[in-house]
Amino acid sequence: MRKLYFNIRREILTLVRDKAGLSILFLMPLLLIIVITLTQQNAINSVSGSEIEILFINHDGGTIGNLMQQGFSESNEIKLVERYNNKPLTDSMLKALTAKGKFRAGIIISANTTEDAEEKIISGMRSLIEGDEDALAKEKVPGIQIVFDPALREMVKTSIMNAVKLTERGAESRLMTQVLFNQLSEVIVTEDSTSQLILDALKEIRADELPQEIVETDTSYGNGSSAIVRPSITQNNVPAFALFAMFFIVIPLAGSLIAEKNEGTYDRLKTLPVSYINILLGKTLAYLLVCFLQFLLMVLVGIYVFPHWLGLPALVTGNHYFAIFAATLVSALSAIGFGLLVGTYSTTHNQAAMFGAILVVIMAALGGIFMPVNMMPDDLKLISNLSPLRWGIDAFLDLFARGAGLAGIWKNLLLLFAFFCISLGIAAKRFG
Amino acid sequence: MTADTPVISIKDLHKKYKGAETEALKGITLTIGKGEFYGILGPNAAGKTTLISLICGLFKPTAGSITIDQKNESAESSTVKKIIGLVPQEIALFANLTVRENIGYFGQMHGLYGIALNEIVDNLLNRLQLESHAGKLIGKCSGGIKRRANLAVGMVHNPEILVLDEPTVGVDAQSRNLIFEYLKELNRQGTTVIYTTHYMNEAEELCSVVSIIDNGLVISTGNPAELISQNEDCNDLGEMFLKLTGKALRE
Repeated sequence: MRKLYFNIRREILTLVRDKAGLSILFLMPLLLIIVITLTQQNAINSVSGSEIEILFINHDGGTIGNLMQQGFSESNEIKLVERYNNKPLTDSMLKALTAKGKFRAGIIISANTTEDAEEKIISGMRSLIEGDEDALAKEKVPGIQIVFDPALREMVKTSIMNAVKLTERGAESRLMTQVLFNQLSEVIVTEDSTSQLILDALKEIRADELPQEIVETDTSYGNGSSAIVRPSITQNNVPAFALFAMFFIVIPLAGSLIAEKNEGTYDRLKTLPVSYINILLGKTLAYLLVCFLQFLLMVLVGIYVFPHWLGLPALVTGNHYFAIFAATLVSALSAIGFGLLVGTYSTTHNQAAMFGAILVVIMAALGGIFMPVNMMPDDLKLISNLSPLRWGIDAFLDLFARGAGLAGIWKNLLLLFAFFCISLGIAAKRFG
Repeated sequence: MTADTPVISIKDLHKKYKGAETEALKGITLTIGKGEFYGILGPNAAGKTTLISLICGLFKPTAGSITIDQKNESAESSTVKKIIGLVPQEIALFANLTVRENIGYFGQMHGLYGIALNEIVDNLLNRLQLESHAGKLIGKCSGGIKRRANLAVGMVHNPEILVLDEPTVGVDAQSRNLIFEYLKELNRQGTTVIYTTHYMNEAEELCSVVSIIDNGLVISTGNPAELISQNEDCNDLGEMFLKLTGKALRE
């Protein structure tokens, strides 16, 4: 045991004095996680979440124009801009501003849109009564023009389109109801005073008085634990990139093995009355400590730095502490196992650094760190099952984003531990 | 035990590396007596480092046997490892550890701890004039300091047999002289020294017995002075070496 302690101590001393190696292990992943989370959050905000400023000109002044204006004003996603540089917008200004990319989109509601729409609804209803069932669907009024920034990404464009369509449909349906009520009050003739009062009331109903939403839409998460863990970009990124960073210990770990082989210390170690498995375990435990510190650092950044300094959602760790510890432990062990394998089969430091780093990125991509696995082609999905990073990422996402406990992730933990044992066995057999 | 008592007996030792066409050692037989300063000489690729590696248990022979300290144990056994100290040709030390930490670490691997280890390390630092460099990282030390630290690491457990593979390559005259003095002192105190070198004058000055090996075979063994006297046309070990191994360039 004493020899193991001295081996751990030597590894830690060597690591602490390798400033470049330490920066790879701690600063680079930190930068990576911050930059990627900020970028992804911004991308998400541009599609949903925060308000998108959209230029708006309402030439209509009728029900459609006013209801759309009202609908957008109540929306959390779109903020209408009706003046630019303290001047009311004109059509040409709107087009020029979107063409230059100053705004992502602009909406122009043509004059008489409501009037034209009312006429079309009435004529459509008459056609319906006359037996033409598709009459209303055929009736289209070219009254709303959406102008986009030519460089706008398709995803954002679709998102704006959907928001506009939704508001437009709401305004249309309320207008149709108003017109229907008004028409009913005009065509129905009654001598009953009560019925006449109802018809008079129908005639007076305005579109903006009609209910906008009748059936409520409720959202929840499959795990039913939304009160504890709220899925966010932080919940996904912190554990996934912490794991990604852990696997980058392949560079210093494989490097240390190769240096020992090339500089003769490995041969010298073989002449000592200590087993090579003891030396490898010393490495394993020293790097395990590094991995835990890395993970802790990432989690602390997720909990404190993200919300307070970067305006990102805070990491919520939930209360499955033992499961998080176990997942971190076996993930770190598998990362160390991978480092031992690369160090065993590489002959130069450059080879290990290049091969190891590229392989980590490939395994991370297969693991779904950059793109969800369910978006991959079927063949890749199958291959991704072989990536230790996939096992780890799935386990961490289950813990952090889906609120699972140890019972939900034990299979992945077993796979990660098996990977470590096999890697350690190969390295010990090859070197020992 | 005296020089007549064999401390290492090697019989018909063969070694063929995986994938190699020929054997590196083709049947070496030699006996090294207790307390001898034994030189193993040979041109490049003669098989010196392979022979030393087999003695130190770095790998197994293809055929033949090595008996160390009259124990019929393999060279890889921990009993044998405790009595052998290796000083390899490379500076086989940890670049990010200091001189003191390197010596200490290898001592710890030999089961030495605490005050006893500190005393040994201090003595070695003192004897090899490394005290003022004890806190320097090996990676930042000069060649001479690295060589001396390399030697100190091989000596930390006070081995009965010290195996040195060209320990003076690339060192200045002062460091070389210091190493020679230290090795002579160790040998006087009873340590068996096995020494490989390309420098014939070193072997002539230090060694009580030399074996000249070439192409994986021992071609001559004996006291340097006696070997020279047996070859009348040779004035020193260098001339005799060239006579036996030829002047053709090696790999």
